[in-house]
Amino acid sequence: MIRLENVTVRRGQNEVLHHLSAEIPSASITAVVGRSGVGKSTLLGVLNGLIRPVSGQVSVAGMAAMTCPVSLREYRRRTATVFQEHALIDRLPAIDNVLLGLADRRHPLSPLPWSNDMRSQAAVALNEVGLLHRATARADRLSGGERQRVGVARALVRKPSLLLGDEPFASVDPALVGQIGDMLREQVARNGMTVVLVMHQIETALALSDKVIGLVNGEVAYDGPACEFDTEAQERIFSM
Amino acid sequence: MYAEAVTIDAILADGHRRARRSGATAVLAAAVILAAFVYSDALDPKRYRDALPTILTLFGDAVPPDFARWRSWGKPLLDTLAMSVVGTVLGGLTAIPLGALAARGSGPAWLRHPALLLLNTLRSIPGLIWGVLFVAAVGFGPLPGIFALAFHSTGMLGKFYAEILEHMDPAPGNALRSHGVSELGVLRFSVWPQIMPRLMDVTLYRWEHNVRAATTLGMVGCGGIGQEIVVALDQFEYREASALILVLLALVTAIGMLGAGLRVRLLERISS
Ligand SMILES: Nc1ncnc2c1ncn2[C@@H]1O[C@H](COP(=O)(O)OP(=O)(O)O)[C@@H](O)[C@H]1O
Ligand SMILES: [Mg+2]
Repeated sequence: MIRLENVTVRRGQNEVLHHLSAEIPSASITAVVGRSGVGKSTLLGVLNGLIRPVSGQVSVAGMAAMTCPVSLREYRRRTATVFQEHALIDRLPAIDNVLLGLADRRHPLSPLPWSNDMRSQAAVALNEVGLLHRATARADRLSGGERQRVGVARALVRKPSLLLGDEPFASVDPALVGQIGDMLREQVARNGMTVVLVMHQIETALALSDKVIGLVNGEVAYDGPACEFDTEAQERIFSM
Repeated sequence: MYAEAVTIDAILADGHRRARRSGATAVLAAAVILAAFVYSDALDPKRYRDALPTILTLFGDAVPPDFARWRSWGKPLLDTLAMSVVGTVLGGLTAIPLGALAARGSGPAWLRHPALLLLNTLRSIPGLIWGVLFVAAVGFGPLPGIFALAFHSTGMLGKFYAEILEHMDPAPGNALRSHGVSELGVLRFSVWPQIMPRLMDVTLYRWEHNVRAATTLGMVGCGGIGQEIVVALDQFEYREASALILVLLALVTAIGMLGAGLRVRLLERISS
């Protein structure tokens, strides 16, 4: 379980998250929903450690405080993030971008190329998102949806115990969303993977997740099981 | 409603203001350029009266080119080439750390301006002056030429390297950090693959430039083909000088084509 306590985040001039507290249960899928600009990506940034809160804390069951560099690194090695803007290296082929997901398992000064074992793992991950046939295409020659799936594959290849996805299905075909969703569900059940997905499509979010955290202006406006998320909650979170 | 109307007015006013400003800039630029032409006598017809006959006489003295001494040109050509290669490599190697310090956001902030100033100084001093300085310091021959090329190239390449670093996409590096990859790993797996082709591109381009620069350096005592040309001119051997200039032209063209080919291959190879 990951616990956020009183987390406050500033970005530039603005306070983006205000004393936010929430719990993310292990071995389940949590959806973070809310209108654009409410702080969903910021929340994921706090969860993967790229954004440091000005106050409050993030604690992970069974781990020392995140402020300790060693435990932060250990936590990050078990984490994988799918970024909203994909964060791919444009001039590298899709497969090499997926291999970047394994960069923490290689010595930075090793002159050797990626091992065959790592290459096959990357190929398997690309296959899981239905992109094996585009493995050698440069990332900047891919469509938006394809780039997004490369980002998903780069996260999956890590076999993470915590998977963070920032709108990972925003421009992916519904049929494929169902397929990837099934695969995530299976990994949650089989390996106890913990998943946090930011999603703006509430139907997909409810269908896929166990728990929903709804944000309004940097504060939690809904925190409960997906099955209890009703029209009243929907109005509270998505109305103008 | 009212608030919206005000906003649109403001947007339109801003558009007009910017159009006026760029119009004024264009007029001012044209005036400055014209003034420069007039000031430098470039528009004065009197200055051109004797030019054509002189050029024709010189040209007449220089044809046909005389290749008789071609056997003795091999070493100077090789000197010039070697000077350009070593000067470029030394300049590039020094430019990497300096460029990293000069790039916004990749080194300590307080070192950025000193690094920029140093690069600026290195490239503001013309290569020929570096050449004269180093000839005085270490004597004649390719060695002072190497230093002259390296110093000037460091200033130029450092600036380019810094710009390449600044235009690099930080997002993949952050993705790696979020996965527990060390800063060295970020350098190796995100920074390097992004900047390497461009680094090579500008460095090869600089090498092409340095082949030409190495020739002019020969004129201040750094040996090579440039020195041969100066010697031929001094002895009024215009036909030999024109042959040497043709050889130089062939060399520079060949290197230009080689460099261009390498750069295209480099940018493509990463892509496939
Ligand atoms: N780098 C930044 N600097 C300053 N403000 C930012 C930055 N990134 C995001 N913000 C602001 O923080 C707020 C929340 O952004 P974000 O977390 O990206 O929202 P969401 O993902 O829910 O659309 C927005 O108001 C946005 O303008
Ligand atoms: Mg977002």
